[in-house]
Amino acid sequence: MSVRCVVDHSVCQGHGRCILYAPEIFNIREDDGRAVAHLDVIPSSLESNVRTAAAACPERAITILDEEDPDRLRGRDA
Amino acid sequence: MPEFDFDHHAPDFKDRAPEIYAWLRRECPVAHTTNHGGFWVVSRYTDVFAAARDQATFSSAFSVVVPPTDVGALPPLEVDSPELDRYRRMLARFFTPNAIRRIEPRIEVATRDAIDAFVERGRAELVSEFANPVPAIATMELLGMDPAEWHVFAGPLHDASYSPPGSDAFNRAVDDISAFGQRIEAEVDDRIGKPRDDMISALLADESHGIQATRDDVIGLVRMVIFGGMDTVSATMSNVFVRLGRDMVLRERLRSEPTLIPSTIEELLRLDPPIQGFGRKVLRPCSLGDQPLTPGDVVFLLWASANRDEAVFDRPEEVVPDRNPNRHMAFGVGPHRCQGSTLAREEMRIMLTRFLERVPMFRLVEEEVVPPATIGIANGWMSVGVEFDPGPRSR
Repeated sequence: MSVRCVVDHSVCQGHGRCILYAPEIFNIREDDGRAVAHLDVIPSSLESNVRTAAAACPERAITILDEEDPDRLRGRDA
Repeated sequence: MPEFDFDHHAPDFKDRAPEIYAWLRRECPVAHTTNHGGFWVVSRYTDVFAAARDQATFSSAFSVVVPPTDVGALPPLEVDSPELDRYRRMLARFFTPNAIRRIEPRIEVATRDAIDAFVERGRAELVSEFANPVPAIATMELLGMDPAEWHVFAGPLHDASYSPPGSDAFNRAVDDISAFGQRIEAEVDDRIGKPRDDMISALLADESHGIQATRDDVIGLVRMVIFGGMDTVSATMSNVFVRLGRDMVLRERLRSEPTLIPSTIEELLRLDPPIQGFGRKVLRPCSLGDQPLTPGDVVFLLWASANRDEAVFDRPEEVVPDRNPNRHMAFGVGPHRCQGSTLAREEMRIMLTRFLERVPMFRLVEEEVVPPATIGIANGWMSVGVEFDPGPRSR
């Protein structure tokens, strides 16, 4: 399993809480103060931090998309 | 119309607010009051959240302090998009986590010096000697103004925040605020054509959204940074010291586990936010909860009540030092959320950490713990007297 994460810039207001919990993934852009995710596919070692960051976002701007394992997907298709 | 006699400027409101908010959330989540010109009181988290994030329906382009209080232009607090977005973009780069990290050493120095000034005495009045100067000095440093003059600004702001609107003390403070407005204009004018390496000069050179910043833009933004940066943190720190003074167990826990300090500050912001709420003006017919609203109505969005909403927070009336998640609205939410929150959090973390290191045991001097005449503008304390075992200056 791997997960992806997306920051919705139409609602992110740059509170910066995500950086506290997952500094490896998130940063605040200098120009408009909104959060960006460095990686959209999250290594499993950081998944729980990213989930904590998403849960901490006061604007609910971070969405975690669970992606099924490609092997399992193939298996199901067959 | 669901009428309720709500008055956040009432003298006993500081003590009664939690019970009033709980009743409103349960019985009358969008209530109307005829006090202060008449407005709607919005108390549930979901309704406050929805309204604060919908500026097309709920406008800030009027006085967001309820009742309206004219202290001059404060962009971007009282404008809507697109001006809102331009002003926020102008400020954004001064408040990123990286930018705040650069001014951390100056917050440390201001904190150390303030503690040095009272630590040998074994007694202090923490509002005037600690909670007021440190954030005010940090704000002056951030802007590039002389930190020695912090009191010119923090003094009148503090007095205006804690005096009932219309009182002599309030009117005097508003006059002093007008007077320091001229000081701000002079600081800006000194940099026009003679830029320095500081925030005011950078704002004067700003061309966000392809628009060259004007003198008035910069004066307004400097006023906003001063208004937002000084008495809010001061009020919160006074609340923190009163809480810790009355809760020995919590204080001991923070002293032995200082890593809990940031999450505990969040929890105390949730329970005792410096601002109870801000107003919005309804621009088009709409509903909040089940309550229809009409254009021109004023809604008062109660951050302080949303923060105790049992539908969102487990054990809402308790201090849970490691509460997580803790999506309180002490800094607001939506396009107007406090842009200085990262700075405020750093100031509070440094102040509380260093204070507990150097004054590990303190006792409130209850007769010197004085509530303000009103918490309708800012919720803090007039004075917080403490006693402790004297300690050494750091230098």
